[in-house]
Amino acid sequence: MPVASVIVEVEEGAGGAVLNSLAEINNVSVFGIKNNQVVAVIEGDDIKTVEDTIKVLYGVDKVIGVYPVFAGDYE
Amino acid sequence: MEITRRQLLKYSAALAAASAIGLELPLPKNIGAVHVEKWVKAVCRYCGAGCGVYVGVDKGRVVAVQGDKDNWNKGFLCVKGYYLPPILYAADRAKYPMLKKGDKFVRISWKEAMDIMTEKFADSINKHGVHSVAFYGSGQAYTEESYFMNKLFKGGLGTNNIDGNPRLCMASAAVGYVSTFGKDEPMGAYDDIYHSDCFFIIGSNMAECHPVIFRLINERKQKNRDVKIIMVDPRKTLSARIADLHMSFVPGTDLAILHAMAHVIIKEGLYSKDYVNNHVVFKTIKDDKPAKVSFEEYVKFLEEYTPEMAEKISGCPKEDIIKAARWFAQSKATMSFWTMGLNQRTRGVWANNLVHNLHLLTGQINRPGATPFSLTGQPNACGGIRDTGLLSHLLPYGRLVANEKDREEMERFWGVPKGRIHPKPGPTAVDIFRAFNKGEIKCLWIACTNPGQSLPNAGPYRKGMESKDTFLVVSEAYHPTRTSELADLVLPAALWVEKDGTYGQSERRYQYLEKAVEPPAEARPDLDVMIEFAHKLFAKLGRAEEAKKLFNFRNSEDVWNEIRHASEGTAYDFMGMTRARLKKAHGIQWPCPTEDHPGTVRRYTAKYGDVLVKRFDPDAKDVSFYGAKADGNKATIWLRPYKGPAEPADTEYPFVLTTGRQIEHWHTGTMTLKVPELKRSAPDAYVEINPKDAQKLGIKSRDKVKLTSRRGSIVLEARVVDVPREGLVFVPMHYPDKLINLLTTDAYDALSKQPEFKICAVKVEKV
Repeated sequence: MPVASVIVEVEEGAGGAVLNSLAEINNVSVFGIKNNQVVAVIEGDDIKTVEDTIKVLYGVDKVIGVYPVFAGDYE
Repeated sequence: MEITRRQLLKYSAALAAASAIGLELPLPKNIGAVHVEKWVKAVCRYCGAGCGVYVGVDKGRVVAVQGDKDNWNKGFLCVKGYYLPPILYAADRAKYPMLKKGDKFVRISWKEAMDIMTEKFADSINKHGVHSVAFYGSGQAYTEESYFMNKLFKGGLGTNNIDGNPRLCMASAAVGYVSTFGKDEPMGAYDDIYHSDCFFIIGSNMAECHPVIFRLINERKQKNRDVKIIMVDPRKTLSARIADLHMSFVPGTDLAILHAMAHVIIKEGLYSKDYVNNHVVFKTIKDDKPAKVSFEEYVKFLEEYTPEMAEKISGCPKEDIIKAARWFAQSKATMSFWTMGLNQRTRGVWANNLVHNLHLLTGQINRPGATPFSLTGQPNACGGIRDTGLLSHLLPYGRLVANEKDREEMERFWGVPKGRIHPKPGPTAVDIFRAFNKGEIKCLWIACTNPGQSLPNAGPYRKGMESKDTFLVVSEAYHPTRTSELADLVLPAALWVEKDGTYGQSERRYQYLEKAVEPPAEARPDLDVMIEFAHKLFAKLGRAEEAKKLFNFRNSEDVWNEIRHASEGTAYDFMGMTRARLKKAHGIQWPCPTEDHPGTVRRYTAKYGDVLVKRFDPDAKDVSFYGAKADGNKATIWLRPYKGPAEPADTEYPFVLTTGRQIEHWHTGTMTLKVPELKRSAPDAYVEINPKDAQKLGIKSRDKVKLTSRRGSIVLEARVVDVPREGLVFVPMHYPDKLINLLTTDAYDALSKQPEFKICAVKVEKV
């Protein structure tokens, strides 16, 4: 059961809009935002779901980068 | 409230990311009990960016990796770094020494392996002399390993038959730095990104190849909307997404563009007279030798390189060239980046010189944010190969084989007789394999690299490596690779954090990698094997006593301590980088001459902290290129005429093939293709074709397409995308079952000997 954290970099001033978009993605939890960087955690039943979600994040309007930081899969 | 394990993991993951950006999270207090027994400090195994990482170990296995938030990368990693743990546990890890008998490999003991290997090398040396054996190393080996082999071959055996794979990726950058500034390696640092207002990126797809450095540029651009990004590349890569100006051009014609920019800068009076007068000399080649010329002669030389002329040659609009020249010269601080697109060329050194020319001409250099900066492909190509001198023309720390004083200095330091170091540079990468093909080199040891896949025009060299008349040893963490399959003897190698050692990355930052876990089965650290080999070989040569003195190392720390002393007093000077300091620090940038010295962010400027300026050039007020003593500590602007590629497209082979990298994979894929997540994302090779070309040829995406060069052919799936310009096709170089290097050319730069991977002519046919 993988859990991965990512930093989602967004365009200047687009934090609110991106947070709204991320809220609509079921397996993504947002933990905070600082300087146009959103801390988010992706959960999935398998790693493929996490990978697919990262691709979804790339496609969100005003997102300019998605950077994985940590992954655990201990269960 | 009880926290579930899943919640714990989730919080831990969030905490890691929040820490990376300095965000404080209100988390439960009992966080931290993730199933990681210890976090071990290391460096990413892949590119030359040198991201700091922490490796999570549980029950003797690496189970997680996270970025080091106290290092330059601020906790960020790219997708490859994030998925590092599986590379250690791939099914094809080499576990035992394997000897080829007939067409099969059979398991043998380490004793048998070392006996066979030393017997073969000793026999060859006794019968054919020291120049009949060779070593081919790697920018992925630890510094201590490369230093040791350099000492063994040059100082011990007295042959310069030793070179490394950085010859294939950054030799042109190294020669470019030396010929312009007198010494190798960038003077700037990643820190310059925070101060730059204009980024000139040429021949580099940073977004995919150096994503974490690219992230810094992204961040700079987001925070400062006036920052300009110029991208010079025949492909519209991911990196071009954030460019303000993308300059596309016919591959191999960028020398004309760079000269035309200089032309505009001079014509419009945008150059820095003060900087040029104080810190620059001008040179050309006359009668095959460098000759000084005047600024006026440089201006005259540039007259013909008008933007119109450059547009005619390159296809890049003159308006873009003029705009780029103005942005470059007029920004508060301009930083340029480049990598393989400039280096892997038959005019790679010249292209490097011309980028330096722009910085010197405009004075966009020697202050925060203003610097030329060559990116590096491998994690220790700078530290392990360029600095250590594991190239056939080099000696450690800026010394040259061809320089008598340098040879004598190293002979004294190593305690070997005067004249031991051979005065003639040895064969370079391609020429080592040519000599091996011919049987002039009879025993070759390849360590930590995969030339059976990565050499240009690989076909003939693969045949040579497979020959029964020569003896090939391959030290590898995996078997089979496209090289180990050709070997006579395969030695299983410890990988990454299965051993300890030092990496030196692109911005002169040296970092210690702690050993985290044991290697599998009988795999051993290469350094252990090298030390054992040296003693056994010298014993067979009747020089056992000499070996005891020469190779008196117990471990990598012993070697590192000798390295520090080898660098002492040079322009590198690592004396302050003790092993103890490196263990604690998040990297230290050289020069670092004393143990209380913090390391040097910017070289060649006393004002910004280079203490060696006063040592080598006491009268300098600030800037001094102290490696260029013969030129009065001034840098050189070179008059290099325009010259195109070795094999341009023609009527028979009308397309240009260029090779490169994808974000998911690294080099020959021996590691990243073992990571299921990365392989799923990018499973196979393909050929990118411009939509207009595809339409003319009746090719659609997913069609099978045959590419043919003068050396070989390959069938690949087409990807019709508006990325390469018309007339250009692109193929990634990672895939072992699709050897694109069967097609590339082994023509190389006359100065750096770096091959022109980036340009060869092909025809394209729908299958």
